[in-house]
Amino acid sequence: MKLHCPFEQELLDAIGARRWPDRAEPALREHVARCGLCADVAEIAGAFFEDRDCARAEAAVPSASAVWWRSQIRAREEAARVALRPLLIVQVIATICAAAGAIALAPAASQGIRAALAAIGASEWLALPRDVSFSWLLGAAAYTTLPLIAACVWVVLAPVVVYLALDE
Amino acid sequence: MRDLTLSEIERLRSEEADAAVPLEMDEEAFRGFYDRTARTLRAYLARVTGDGALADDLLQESYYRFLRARGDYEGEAHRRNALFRIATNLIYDSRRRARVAPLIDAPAFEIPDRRDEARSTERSADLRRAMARLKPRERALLWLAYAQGSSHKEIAESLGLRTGSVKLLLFRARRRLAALLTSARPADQERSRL
Repeated sequence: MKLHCPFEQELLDAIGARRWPDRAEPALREHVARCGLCADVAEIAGAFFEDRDCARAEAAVPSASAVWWRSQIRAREEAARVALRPLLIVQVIATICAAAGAIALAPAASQGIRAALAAIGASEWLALPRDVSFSWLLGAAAYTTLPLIAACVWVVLAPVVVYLALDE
Repeated sequence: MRDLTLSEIERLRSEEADAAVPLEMDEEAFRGFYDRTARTLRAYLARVTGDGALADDLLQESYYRFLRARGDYEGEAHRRNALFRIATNLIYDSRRRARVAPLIDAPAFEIPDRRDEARSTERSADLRRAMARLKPRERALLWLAYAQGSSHKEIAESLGLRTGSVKLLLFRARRRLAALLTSARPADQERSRL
């Protein structure tokens, strides 16, 4: 099977110079009439030459400056992403550690919260004893208020931390 | 694809001093290279994808990837072939993506209707209709060989093929296209007679 014909280039040159078929060499015309491969080339090459001119005329390309600057912006963004990657990894690790810590401390915290609720429920806490002292107040605050504040802060901060970690 | 406004370009110019990211070539060299290749590449992308909007996107993406590639090029021709290789890979990627999510962005081949033919010649309209029925690799091979006049070696470099295979693949693609063009012609002649 013949894949390439030595006359192909001559035929392409004739088509490119718009000499084909009328002003082409008679020998070339004779050859194309006999050669199936060159007949295919003659069939399609002229159409490609015309379509190439159409395609180039239709092509509205952006300016070189626009393409250059867009590339610069993307390159910068990509560089920033690469630079932030270690930070992201640290954030993810911190989130995992915080979650693990919260799970580990949950039983102790729940005991504290239960005790705090019991103390709130007890009327003697609401009605201050006569011999109220600073140390008593501190103890009551540590026992009841601090675990509640910690729980509230955690509820607010946890989504923020997760958001920051998964922002990418 | 939106063009940058003048104010945006000015703002970017002022930001350039802050952090310049090293690219494959400097701006001046890029301008020259772009001016020599952009129209040819846009025509190649448009004809092989059959989608003008997609061709615009791929044009920008091709130059970006080319600038980021930092290849060791022997000369202008080598550099140009590398650009076309990137563009060809992007065409294949976009086709794969379209196949994975066909409901979202499967690009339809832009077959010119009768009104468009007033602008382009009837022959090139026939060619586009026939090209729409070929595979992207066949379209790329034929476009590079006959519209751009690339050698087999250049085609091989641009499409990531072995030079030896180009001859056979081109032969088959040419045969298919010639058959499609020949079979399309009597129908057209019939139409023009009516």
